[in-house]
Amino acid sequence: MSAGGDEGTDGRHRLRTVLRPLFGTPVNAALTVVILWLLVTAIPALLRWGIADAIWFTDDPKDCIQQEGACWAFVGAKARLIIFGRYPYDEHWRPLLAMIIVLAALVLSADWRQWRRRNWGRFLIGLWAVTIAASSMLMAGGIAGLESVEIDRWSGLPLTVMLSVFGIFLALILSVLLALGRQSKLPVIRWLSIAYIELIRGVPLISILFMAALLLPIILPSGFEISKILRAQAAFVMFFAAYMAEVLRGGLQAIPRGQYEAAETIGLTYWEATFKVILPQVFRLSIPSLVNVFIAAFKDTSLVVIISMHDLMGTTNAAISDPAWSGIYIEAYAFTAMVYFIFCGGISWYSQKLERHLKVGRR
Amino acid sequence: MTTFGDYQAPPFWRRPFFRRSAAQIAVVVGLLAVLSFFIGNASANLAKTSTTLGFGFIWSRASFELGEGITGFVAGDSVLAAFWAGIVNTLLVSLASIVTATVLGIAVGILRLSSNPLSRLLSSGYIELMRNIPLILQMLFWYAVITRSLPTPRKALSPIEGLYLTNRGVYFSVIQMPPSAFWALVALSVLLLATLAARATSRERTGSLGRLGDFRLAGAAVVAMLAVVLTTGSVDVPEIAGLNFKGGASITPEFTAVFLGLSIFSAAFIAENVRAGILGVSAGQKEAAASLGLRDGQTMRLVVLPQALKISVPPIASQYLDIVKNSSLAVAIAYPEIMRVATVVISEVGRSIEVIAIIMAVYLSISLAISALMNAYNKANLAKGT
Repeated sequence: MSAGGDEGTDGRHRLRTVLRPLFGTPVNAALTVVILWLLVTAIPALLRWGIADAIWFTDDPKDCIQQEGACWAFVGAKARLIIFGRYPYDEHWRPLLAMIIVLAALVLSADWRQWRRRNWGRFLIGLWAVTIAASSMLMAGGIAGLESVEIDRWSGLPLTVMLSVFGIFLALILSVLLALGRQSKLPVIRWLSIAYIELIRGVPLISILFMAALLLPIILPSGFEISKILRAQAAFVMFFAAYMAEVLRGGLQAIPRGQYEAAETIGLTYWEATFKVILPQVFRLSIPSLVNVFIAAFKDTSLVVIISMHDLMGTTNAAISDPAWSGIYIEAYAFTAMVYFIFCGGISWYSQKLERHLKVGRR
Repeated sequence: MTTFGDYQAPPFWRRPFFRRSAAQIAVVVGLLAVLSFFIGNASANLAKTSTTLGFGFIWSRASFELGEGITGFVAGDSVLAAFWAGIVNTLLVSLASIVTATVLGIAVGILRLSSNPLSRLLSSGYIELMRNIPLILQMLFWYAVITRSLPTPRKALSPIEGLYLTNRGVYFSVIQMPPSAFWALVALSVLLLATLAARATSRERTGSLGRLGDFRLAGAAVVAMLAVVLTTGSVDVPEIAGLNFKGGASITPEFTAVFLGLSIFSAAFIAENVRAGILGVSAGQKEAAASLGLRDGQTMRLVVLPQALKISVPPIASQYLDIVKNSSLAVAIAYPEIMRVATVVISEVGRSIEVIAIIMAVYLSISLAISALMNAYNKANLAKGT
């Protein structure tokens, strides 16, 4: 081809590079035809339902029931119920602010450029202690002129975010101990850790949630009230600690023996060697998998609807059950699915970036 | 000058043996202290309501119905029978979902790696969407679609003859036959499977006559099966009777929603495992196959997939385990699997401590059984060599 580029052949060439993967082989041609047919039938129908025939604004539920298309006005009317749930209406800024604080702490902890800094780990532990305390106080109120709000009225997205983020942070601490215990040379500690990890991993999360909800009140001293939300939080910590311990075990096993021996040779004690030499390397290896556990935890907080709590999933069900808007549910589920998708998709996007960064760093 | 004569053994509390023993004893004592604290509280709390622990209640009469099940449980049977019905339902919906999720997952995983950009786009969209939306939302969504959006039986949706989609469940025609014919079919299908398995596992690929014999046997089995069905079978078509269908077979909305949710959700994860398995087969294998003149499909079927399977089987098996555990989410839409039975028993009979112990034991047994199978498979595979 000449340097100037013949318009005709160049265009044909480009067309060929586009068409070859689509129609190059009989299998690909058949696939293309089937998929195109699917898209051609599905997309216009979806657009008609979701946009063209949809009702975006109305105060009267009757407008929606007659309509063929989506009723986004329903989501508009119920958005605050779905996101903030049963929290007092006039105080919605508090869960919003608490959520922003938690997410900001999350973003700050996720920035891998900072990880090399001195004492960053200690800083992060302090940061999370402050974040947990500040956001809980903001939600609970009763101080600094804030109206007191019962913990059982915390609901919606802030509850989902707090249950999963705080749960994963506390589970991480427990899981480090479990993973070290599982690799310990002391048989009693090793057996106990293995028994705990395998027991928890062998049963579904719901059974742990039921156990926490039903058994905690029985095994604690009478008169010691523990709210439903804290019971669920304890269940999440117990459950995800076992899974994170297994992830960390993978990392621990990947550390060459020489590292332990070198640490011992220069006279470090077990705990010094573990925290200064071994664990930093283990975290570097395991962080992408730990982030995957976090995604699972974020999705699995939705299980609390089963013990009739109102997290994001629970408030969605509450919105759907409004008889005034009867028959409308797809829109609310779509909205909630989108919120979950944005959070989980965002975290997994971060996880992929991080993995690439860590791989580049190793080379 | 120091000599070894001056060496003094460290005091006993600095010796490794003492330290290790002390650490373990401390952990055990601490654990026992916490446990006795919990048990003390529990017995005090139980004494207050004057309840005693014990599993005797499983022989008592269950005063509730469960909705569906193949064990024939009815109110009035023992609580144990209710638990058994729940276990069977758990295994039933898990097994159905495992089969569907595997087929769908393998298809999506292969499409994800296709050379066709459209199929890559579609399958990665599917995987990302399903993986990032909680399973319970998906199950509730399917349940709502079935019970709220499907028409009543009188206006049933019938995409193909003999299949009716309604808000009361899915109804479809079945072939009915006498029990003797049914057992004949079972025997013939065992024969067919045995022939196919023998062919698949035999290393002899050269003896064309032997293979022909296999085919003849398999063909004869198929013909015999068709003959049995055609001569003894009659089609039982569901028909409207009053407000509902009569005849045929049906699946409840609860089962359908759990099954759809579990299969579609888990298929996305299995697809990722399949993809990782296929990518784990070294490129040299594909190139070698291509240079031998194998076509794309043949390379996939004969060279890549058998090796990819070995990589993917352990993670897929753990997906199966997850499917069994995730089937417990069915409690959210009241499909009577073991967890739902447990909640019903707790609300009707009480006994939460014992019931929780029972469900944990059931799930642990299922998990252990699946991991034992898995280990046996791995061992057999390792013994065979790659």
